[in-house]
Amino acid sequence: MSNSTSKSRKNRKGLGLKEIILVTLFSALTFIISMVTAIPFSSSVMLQLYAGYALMAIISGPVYVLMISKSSKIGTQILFFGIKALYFLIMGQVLTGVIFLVTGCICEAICLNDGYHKVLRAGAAYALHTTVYGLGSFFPVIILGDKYAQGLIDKGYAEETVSTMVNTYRNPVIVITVVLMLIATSAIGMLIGYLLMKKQFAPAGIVEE
Amino acid sequence: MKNTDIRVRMVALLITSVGVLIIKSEYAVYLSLLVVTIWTGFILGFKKVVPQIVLFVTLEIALFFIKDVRAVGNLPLLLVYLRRLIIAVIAAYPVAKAPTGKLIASLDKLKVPRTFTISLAVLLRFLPTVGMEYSAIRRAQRYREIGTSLRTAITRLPQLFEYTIVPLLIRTTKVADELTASAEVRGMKLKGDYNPYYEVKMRTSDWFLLAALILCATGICYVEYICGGVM
Repeated sequence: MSNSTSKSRKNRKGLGLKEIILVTLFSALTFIISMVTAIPFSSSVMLQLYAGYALMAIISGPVYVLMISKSSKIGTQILFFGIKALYFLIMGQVLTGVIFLVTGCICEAICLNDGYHKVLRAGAAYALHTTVYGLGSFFPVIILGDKYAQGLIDKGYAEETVSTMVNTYRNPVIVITVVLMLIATSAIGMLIGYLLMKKQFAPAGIVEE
Repeated sequence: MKNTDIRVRMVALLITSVGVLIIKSEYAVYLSLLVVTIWTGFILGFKKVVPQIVLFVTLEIALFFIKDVRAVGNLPLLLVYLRRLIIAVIAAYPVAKAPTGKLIASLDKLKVPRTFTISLAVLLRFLPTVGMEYSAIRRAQRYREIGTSLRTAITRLPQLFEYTIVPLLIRTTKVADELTASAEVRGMKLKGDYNPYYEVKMRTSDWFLLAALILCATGICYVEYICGGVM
């Protein structure tokens, strides 16, 4: 009975209770990592973009690799993004929350048909995750434009600070360099993750080799 | 008020989240803070809200002094955002501190997908433990004289990273296994009927509180309007 239950769990394509709990925990962990890495650089937009998010991409790489190794089923990416989208929705950042949900669906599509076990496709999904995270601040400026800037000023932000922030987010050179940097650091994070899997997690029996 | 229905608490959180997003005038912000403080204070006790209020006041004072100081860069932006975040956090407290079984039963009654329910319950219970897990790992590292000084932390950064992230991830995996076993033992499953221990029922007091919440929200919208805000 226990063997057939175990086999039916493994063969199930969608998320089971164990996978839901696991993905939730790992998603929360990457979220905490992003908060911790953002705090030291929060005084400068440029530092946050080039250092904070890059650090997050590298540190969260092993977390992501372990998560997809243990939960390589349909729904993992959607749940992974959904947890973060929930935070943004609760904190009133509806636009960012919606963008995260849409990105989750895109990443799920990338990982369909055994994509979780393919390094390139799983890496592409992770790079997209990190890029959306880094560009999350850009989206309201790009989509809403001056209305967003005026809204910030009305809420009490200093005009000069808002102007500097908007000019940074609207600069195409900065956007492109941030995207390229995040893709590169995501690749580094994934590489570290796979190395740690081989060196630590597989011998410990946490994942199958 | 301590036994307020969780659905009413969720409505309060939803109204606060939306309000934090759209209100612009400072009077509306202060009024929102007052309302959520009274709300959370009556449900959980005012002592629970004191740290958040102290933090809000600290941020206000800090913002007053550094608002026009160029040298601090983007810090005022962060402080303005954090002020509003604190209001949402205070409103989230009554939901986060509710018994897990009651929360799951309430969400089940609202026909919320079980995946979302389980994820939310796991999040609320796991997030406070991450700090404890990390502290335990750091204590073990100090016992082995790993990362005890800034010099060794910098010169042995890759090792420090490995010796922190690997135990943290292994512990998280174990926590996931334990939570799964705990949930299954309690009859939690993704599909099918779920018979909760707690009875979920709106009482007369809950309806009064809901009406009071909507009244307060309307009042804040009116204050926002007369102060020349978004409305």
